[in-house]
Amino acid sequence: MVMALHCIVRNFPKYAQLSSKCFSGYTLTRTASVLGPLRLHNSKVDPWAASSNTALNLSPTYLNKTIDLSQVKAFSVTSSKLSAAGHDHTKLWSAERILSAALLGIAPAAFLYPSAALDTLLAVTFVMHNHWGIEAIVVDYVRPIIFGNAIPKIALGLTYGFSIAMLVGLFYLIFNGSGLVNTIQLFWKI
Amino acid sequence: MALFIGRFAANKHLVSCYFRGLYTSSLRTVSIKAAPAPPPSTETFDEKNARLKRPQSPHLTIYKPQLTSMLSITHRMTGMALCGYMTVLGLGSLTPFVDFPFLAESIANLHLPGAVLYSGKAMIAFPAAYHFINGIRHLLWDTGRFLTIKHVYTTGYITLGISLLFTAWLVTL
Repeated sequence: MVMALHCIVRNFPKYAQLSSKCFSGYTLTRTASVLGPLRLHNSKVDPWAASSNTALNLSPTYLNKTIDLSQVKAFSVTSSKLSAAGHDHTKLWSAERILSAALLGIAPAAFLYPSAALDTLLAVTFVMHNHWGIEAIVVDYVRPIIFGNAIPKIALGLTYGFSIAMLVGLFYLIFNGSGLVNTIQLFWKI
Repeated sequence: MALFIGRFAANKHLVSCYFRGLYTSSLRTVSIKAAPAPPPSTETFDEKNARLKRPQSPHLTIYKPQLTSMLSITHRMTGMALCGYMTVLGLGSLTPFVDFPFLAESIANLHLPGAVLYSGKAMIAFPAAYHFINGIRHLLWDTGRFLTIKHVYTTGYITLGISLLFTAWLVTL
């Protein structure tokens, strides 16, 4: 059994050529790799990598055409990819991370050096970070498949309203009240 | 048996003869009709299964709690707790009858025992400390670091430890 497996494995390139020859008039080979070492599943070769020896030879034996795979664009007909068409989330994602990193510095600084300016900065960055977080929670849990089509949209609108109201309230606290970090320190001094 | 198959397939002439025999042995009229391809379905996996009324496999009720998932949901819950704190401060200051200095004085006048005060402060400070430290861990992941399961567990335990120390320090402020 092991011997037969060994025989099949060693002759695999020949079988691959044979199977394609039987069912089509074309040979499907990779140039410079048929006679090379046999690559199995832990190979690190990327079949789509653009390099001089990976042109896919999709040619009938009587024609001599080669297709350069680096020019081929992948497409998908699955619904998740269809619905994402035309929407690029990457810049928003980067903005979220940069804001989180900024908040790591602003929060301690606002407490170490209490002032209206740092209070305002803290309020704005906090509300943005908070809004993105609550939006993620709402989008994750209030899904159309459970709640229908209207309620998720309403929930997202409520999130926006909530963030705006929170920012207005914090500004009121900073400029008309006792200040943001001062209020927190009031309660912490108890 | 396997040896026989190996030798059989290695013989090129035999293979092509065998398959050619398959094609020509019995004659049948076959008609092929070309039709336009059906449009791709925009139904997601969940929608399709709901439409077919298939039962859903259990998930949260059977999944073993692990450090990875527990720390992740704690990150989300501490975030919601911090949102709650700021809601009190932000939306509270918009309501007419809320005056924070007066409220602080009233709580101070309750003269709560030190143990109650310290444990209360610890419970309020822990979400802030944990979310801060785990936030750093998340940002490190976003740079591509510590993504192996071993590193996730190591940084997870470190996060828990530092969060508890941070909480203890915040309580003393």
